[in-house]
Amino acid sequence: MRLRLACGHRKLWLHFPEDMPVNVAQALQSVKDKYPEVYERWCDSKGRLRSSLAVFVNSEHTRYRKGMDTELSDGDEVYVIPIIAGG
Amino acid sequence: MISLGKEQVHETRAKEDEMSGGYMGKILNVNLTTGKTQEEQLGQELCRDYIGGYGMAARLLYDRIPAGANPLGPDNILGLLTGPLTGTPAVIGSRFVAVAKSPKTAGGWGDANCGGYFGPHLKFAGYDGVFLGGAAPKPLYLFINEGKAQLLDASDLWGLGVTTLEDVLKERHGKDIQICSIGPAGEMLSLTACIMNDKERAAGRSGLGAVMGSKRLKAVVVRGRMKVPLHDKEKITELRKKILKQPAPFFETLHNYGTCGITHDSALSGDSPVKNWGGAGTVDFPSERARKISDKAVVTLEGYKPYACWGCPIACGGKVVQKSGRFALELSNEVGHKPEYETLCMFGTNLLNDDLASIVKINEICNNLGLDTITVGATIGYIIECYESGLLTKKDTDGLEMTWGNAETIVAMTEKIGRREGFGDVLADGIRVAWEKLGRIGTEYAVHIEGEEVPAHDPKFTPGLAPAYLLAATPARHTQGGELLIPPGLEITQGDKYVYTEKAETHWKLLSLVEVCNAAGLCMFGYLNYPIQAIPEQLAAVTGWDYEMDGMQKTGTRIFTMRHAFNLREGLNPLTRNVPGRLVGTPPLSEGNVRGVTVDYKTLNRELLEAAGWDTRTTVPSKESLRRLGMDFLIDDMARVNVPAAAPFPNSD
Repeated sequence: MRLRLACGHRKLWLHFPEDMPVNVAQALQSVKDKYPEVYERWCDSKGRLRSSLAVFVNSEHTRYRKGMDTELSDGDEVYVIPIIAGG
Repeated sequence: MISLGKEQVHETRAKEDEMSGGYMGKILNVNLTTGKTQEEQLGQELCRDYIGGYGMAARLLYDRIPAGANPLGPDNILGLLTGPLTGTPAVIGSRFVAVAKSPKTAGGWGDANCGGYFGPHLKFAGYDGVFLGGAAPKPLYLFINEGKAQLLDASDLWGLGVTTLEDVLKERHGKDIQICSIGPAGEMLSLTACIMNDKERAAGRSGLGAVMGSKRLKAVVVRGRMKVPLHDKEKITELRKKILKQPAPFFETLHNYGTCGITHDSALSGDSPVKNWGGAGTVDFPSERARKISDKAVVTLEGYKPYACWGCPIACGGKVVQKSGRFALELSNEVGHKPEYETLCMFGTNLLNDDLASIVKINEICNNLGLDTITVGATIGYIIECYESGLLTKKDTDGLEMTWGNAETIVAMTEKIGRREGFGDVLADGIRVAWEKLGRIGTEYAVHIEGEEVPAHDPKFTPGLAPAYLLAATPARHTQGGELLIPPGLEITQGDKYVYTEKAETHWKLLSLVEVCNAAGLCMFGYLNYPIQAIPEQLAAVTGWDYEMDGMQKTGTRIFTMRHAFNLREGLNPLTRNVPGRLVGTPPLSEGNVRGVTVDYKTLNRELLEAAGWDTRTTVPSKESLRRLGMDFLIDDMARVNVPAAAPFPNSD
């Protein structure tokens, strides 16, 4: 299964075995070793998504699905956005 | 030059042991009617209790602006105030605030915060702030040069756009000056007018440009090289280095793109208004459209160069060139300022306009004529929706087809608003006045709170914004704190943002702390990037006073209360402000990433008022809450205020 993990213009392609169910939390965890600087920006020391971020799957907020337990399918895009106030 | 009479600026300064670091120790009071100026020494107690900026201003102007004063009359006082960290090595000490009784929000407290270079240079010129009362008999400008003030004739400057004005003044007084000014919009007393600095930085809200125009004051010009005293220069310098080395969550986005870096994401998430607050980003302004006015699209504009306010390491601003095409820039050698998030949203996402060049042009128009982009973009959104709904026709709109995404007519109408031409005259005072003038059409499309148009952050996405928008002294301000603005290192309980109970303590903390940031003269982006503990540490290093977090929160609460008290004395109860249905999801949207959300702002507000010790129907602070804050002087006044009581909250005892 191939997934796209994106934040702004930065995109990471993730590959998982076809028969392995993967959810949003697992997709985010998977970058920990290969992209530690990205992981640190997204997750705290306990592996929880930082409260200043919001996660979308194919442009829909995970709140409308199962949050971090939302299961992903081949080709899905997981998009992480920081919540910043703009002036 | 108008004679200053006997009360010329004098050289008396505070004794060394009367004022701490961070302060120049004095405010300049200017009577524009008589032409007289007077220096006022700042007292330690005032500074300790209210810090500076709008904190200090609210305390002083509560005593000096009479209740019931006409905001556009001579009894109103316009202030330009810095904080103790403005113009120091503090991160980021670039800000000043304009204050006055607002003509836009029912005569309540008004303020507008701004970066650029004016604030630090006002201090370098010798003053922590300037208060301008009365009204000049003819157009004037104030020139403060190394501690000496003159009121000079501005008859030849009246009518000039901000860009040309600054060029003329620099030619006249030298390139090392900094300028606060109004454009033609302020001169014409438009409530959409703002106060400008460095050509393209705006003190945008509260209609303060009109207040400056009502005083026939075209500009305040400052020059100076005085040093801001620092209690411990070594300590603050060391703190700056330490702070800047720390990981900052949003530094990269702001440094690389500025606030335009979030435009696309906010359209997607539901944070930004779409189609006059009635649409959904994923449906009406999807990713491929939103990208056209966001991040890379903006910073790859021709000739892009970053711009930093004074002392700022982030440099979220920028300059761009637009020499050709139907929206070519006309001023400053076709160089304009990069549009910021609010401008991109209110003229882009909100109007379904993905033509970036048009928004760059609109930015030039607004900056030059002195218009607040949030207010004007929102007002045009109201008009477009009325037009699209058949409530207005081309006959009303001077032949302009005011339709969604029609870049040309949006640009044209912006210019008309700035010049009060034709239909622009109807719109030049914002949505509430336009709605009245048009016979109260399209009420559901008129999204404002007490006359102030709402910035591009939706409470349906961040419900914690609702108390800030609805209860703070200045309505409809995302910069008043709340859950959108959480500084790193702050220990708070957050939980699910759509659970509305047991949030009061957190919200009260957030609302209070941001008051300190604003009053100290710090930029919000420092507040959002660096640990909150850096603020009391920097205040201590600069002023020499002991600052710690608990004390900071109490001071912030005091400032919040003082600004609120100003409104109560005017008979204004924030609970009686109109709450646009679209803002809070009544009815909820059926599409997009905030679909189904209706914000229970009443529960949020009720709990906050209870936590604050304010009456839940009148918002009058209790005697106990005032005593806790050392505000006993307000007790008698607050017992006498005459505000309409709001209906009881649902589920109230």
